[in-house]
Amino acid sequence: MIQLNCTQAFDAAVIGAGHAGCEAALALARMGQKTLLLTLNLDSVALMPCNPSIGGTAKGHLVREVDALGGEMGRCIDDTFLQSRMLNTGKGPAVHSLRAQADKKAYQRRMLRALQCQQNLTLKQGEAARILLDGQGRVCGVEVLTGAQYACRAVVVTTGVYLKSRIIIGETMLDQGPSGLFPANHLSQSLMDLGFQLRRFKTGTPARVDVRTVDLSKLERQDGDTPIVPFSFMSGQLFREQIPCYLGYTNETTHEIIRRNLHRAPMYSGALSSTGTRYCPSIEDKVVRFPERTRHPFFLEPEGENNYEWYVQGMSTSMPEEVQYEIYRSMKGFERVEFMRLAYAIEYDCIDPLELDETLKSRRVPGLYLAGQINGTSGYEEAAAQGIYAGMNAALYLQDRPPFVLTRADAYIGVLVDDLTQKGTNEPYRMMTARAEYRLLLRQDNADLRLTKRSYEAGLATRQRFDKMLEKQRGTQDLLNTLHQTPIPKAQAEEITGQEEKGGLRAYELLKREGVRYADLRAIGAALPDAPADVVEQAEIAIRYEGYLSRQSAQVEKFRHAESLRLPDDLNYNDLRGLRIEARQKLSAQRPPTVGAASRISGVSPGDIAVLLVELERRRRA
Amino acid sequence: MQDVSGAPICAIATAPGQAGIAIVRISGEGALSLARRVFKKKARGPYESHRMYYGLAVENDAPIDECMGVYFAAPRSYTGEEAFEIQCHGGDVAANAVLSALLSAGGRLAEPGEFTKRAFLNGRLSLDEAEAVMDFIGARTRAAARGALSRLQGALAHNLRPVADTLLDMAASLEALLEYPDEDIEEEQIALALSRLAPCRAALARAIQNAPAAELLRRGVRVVLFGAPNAGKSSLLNALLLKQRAIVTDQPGTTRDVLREELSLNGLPVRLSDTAGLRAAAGEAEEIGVRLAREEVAQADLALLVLDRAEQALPELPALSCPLVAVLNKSDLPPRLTAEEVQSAYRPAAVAQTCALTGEGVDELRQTLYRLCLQEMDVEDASLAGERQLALAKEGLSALNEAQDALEQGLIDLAAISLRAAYLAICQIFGENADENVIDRIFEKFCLGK
Repeated sequence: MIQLNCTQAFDAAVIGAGHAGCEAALALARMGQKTLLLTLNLDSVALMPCNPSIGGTAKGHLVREVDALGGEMGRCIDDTFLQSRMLNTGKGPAVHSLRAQADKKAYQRRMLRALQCQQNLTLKQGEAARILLDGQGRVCGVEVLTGAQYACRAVVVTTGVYLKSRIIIGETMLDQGPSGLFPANHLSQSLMDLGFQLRRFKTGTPARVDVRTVDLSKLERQDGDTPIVPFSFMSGQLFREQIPCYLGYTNETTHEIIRRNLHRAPMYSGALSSTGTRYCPSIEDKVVRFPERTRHPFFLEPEGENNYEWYVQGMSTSMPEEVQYEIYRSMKGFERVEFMRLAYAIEYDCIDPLELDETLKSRRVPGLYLAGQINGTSGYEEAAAQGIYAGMNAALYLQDRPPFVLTRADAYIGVLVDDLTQKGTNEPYRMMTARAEYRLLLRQDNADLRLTKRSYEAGLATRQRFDKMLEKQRGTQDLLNTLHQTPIPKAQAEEITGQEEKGGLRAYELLKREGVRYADLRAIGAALPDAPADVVEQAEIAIRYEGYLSRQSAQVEKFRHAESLRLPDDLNYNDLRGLRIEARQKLSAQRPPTVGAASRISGVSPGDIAVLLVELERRRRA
Repeated sequence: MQDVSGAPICAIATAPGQAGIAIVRISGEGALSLARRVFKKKARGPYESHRMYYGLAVENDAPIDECMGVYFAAPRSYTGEEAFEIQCHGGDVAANAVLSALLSAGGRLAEPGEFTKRAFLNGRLSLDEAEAVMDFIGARTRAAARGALSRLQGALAHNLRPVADTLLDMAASLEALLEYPDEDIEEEQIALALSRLAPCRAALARAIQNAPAAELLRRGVRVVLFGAPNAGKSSLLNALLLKQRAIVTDQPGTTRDVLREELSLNGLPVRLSDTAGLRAAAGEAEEIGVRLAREEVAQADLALLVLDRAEQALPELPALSCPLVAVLNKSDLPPRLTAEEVQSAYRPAAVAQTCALTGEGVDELRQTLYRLCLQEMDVEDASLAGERQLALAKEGLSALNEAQDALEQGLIDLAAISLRAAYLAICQIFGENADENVIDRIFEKFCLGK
């Protein structure tokens, strides 16, 4: 039994104040838990060390879900963005994706204020060195490098890329965190002592350039959307002057320079062996893997207002400084470019997420949760999503209440957590719409309808947020009823469809037609209300895609049933008769929580599932 | 995603072959409403449980067969669930047609052992029987992987593999376009992918037409008679056929061609072939005959080694990939070869004693063949497994049709979802779980990322 030299007592401690840590700490505090948030450096809270944007395909969905649960990321970016665009409009309802360019500094200040103003939340600078366990092997505290010990029954580890991080720029390697910050060199050992196997993952970031040295006239300008669609369901209509981004391309000369200098890239010279990701490859990776491409696009994006430092998305590299210059200056418009920060690769310690359960809790250490890049993911949004989820579950754990579990049929967060904890990942994991099999139902426009009630019941989402969701839900139902009842006379219907109709139609029948919008019906004078935009959107999607939606709903029904059948912890697959050998091995190794999860393991056949069902019933009766 | 819900499942419940009636069983919530879409009873009024009704089985309003239907209200059925049984005319044709109609109407084909599993889950079988049920499911799963049918399935998989690969490419192209809207993904590449949709649909439609179970019933189980010259293969063929088909002489090496004959064993179609005796050939014509014989044996589903009981010689056999039946022929002559010697020499699946001349033992041989053919075809599951593939192929085709519609409206998202559904359905035909492949393909094919 450890005798705590207790400096101060909390319910929970969160280690790291990046995007995962901020959401985890806010969720814990908002659910009534006295929470300590530890950060290496108070000046780098909610730092965006890589791209200056939030959202994008699938990531935008995650932000909406974090917001629907009552998180901060959505409101924070709504308050601080420089440009906002809805991507993929017109390609189908499930893939509309919101992305906003952030003012990095403003985003940090905004998040810092939220943390400081939050009741139950204490923010401290200090490096966590050790996670302390009690005699029963449960979490009982955190010790910082300078000696203080903080008692707590739950810890959320959200260390991002800081564990033993190393920066690589060509032949130069530095034991540093991102952007020249300090790494965290002590917690890795503590995690190993707790039985975690650590892995080395790697990611990279492009150079930041002085935008005054770029000839913007040679690039293609990209403006933001008007009207602006906010991220948060709580933000009203937003008005803001937006800053443009610029699109450019590499060329054959650029690629030639890269090929000529490949031996100087640490990933190719053999100096580095950590695992990178396919999802954001360096420019040298792109040139090597796709030799037939004559150009690759890149985007020049602002890092903040009143700031000449701009980000070059698509051009991450770990080449030495002089080669970086040669590469960038070969691009049209960049002939005289000056760097303000060099591009670099960074490698860091992370754990294998297969060690976590479906609430992101360690399978071995009660009270220990992990979230964000330490779990092998990439991206601010993936981090925030895990952070709020781990924070909520840590709070419920402290309160002795049932966990808050999101499945693949509930949310992208559910897909993310299931992928990580059941399939694992061998490279930094990025969320994609292609990963969500029920994506027609898991849209960014209905994240509140899917999640807010459940979060409210768990104790996180506020009454105000819950009421707003209910209003949208009722409004949608009312509007759908109205549309089913409202007749449109033949002449007016023909005016809309531009073709001869057999007779009059119901309003909803017209909305089923390609290209017909609610506004068109009102324009011809149909007796329809001036409903709020979010309500109209829900009704339009529900009618237009009715067939597809009901088919996915039927699939979800089956999924939910399989998911409701829990596999007991003491089930010994090796003793189970009728299972094939492959199934025995895989089930023993992965220990899926439910029959549904078991059925998604490759090599587990329908016959094996039948055996599991029989065993469950045998136990129920025994 | 495997279905573990209580949705209605269907299968043919009676053994295949010639019998008075065949029963197609439906079990699960909604069994009655599913049955109603296929079975139209003559009498008016609602169904009463445990009463037999006369009616007509139909598919798309076209009659299939005159049938009897019985409704079992839950929990008073074999599985303890709502159930329905359609009794149609015996033989495989009517029962398969009824089953196929049920699957088209939204039923799902039962997995091996699933009725028994459900009976247990619903408390119709006692706790003591749980392990027996597990063993049974395991055995049925293994059985489904054997036999002539699985060989044909291999051929189907071979034919559909290129289709699956094309679909994977197309799905990846569309997903990449959605995932990275800013990227430089050439529109021509998408257009190219679209032009590949039509051949995929055609290939799938062809596969549906030539589904393995149908193919197996059409071509029959291949049983090949072979052995040393003059052992009596041709006589045995004639005896099995109950007619004079092959020319029989005392002269060894009379049969030089391969003779093929159709035979019905209790309703099971069997293709019987008689081959030239395996020996060093006496002339060019016979040499060709011997080569053909070897080829025929190599393709057999069941090989019938005919031995002359009056000769002591045990001929050397060609390599066999199918079960072997040894027939000790000429049981009217004094024996110089015993069943035990044959058993230890060849380890055949069965040994029979016949006299082709008198017909003695031929009926028993017929029954042995029937039993082994059933095993080899795994007929208990043959129509089942075949129907499962057929259902998957149909599912794939209908998803492709949806993809086409969605693309015509420019709804890339929905098209991608449908293409992927088609791809996953085809992969399931191969017995593969392919969820991750689309994402891998996106990154193999396209240069993406920030």
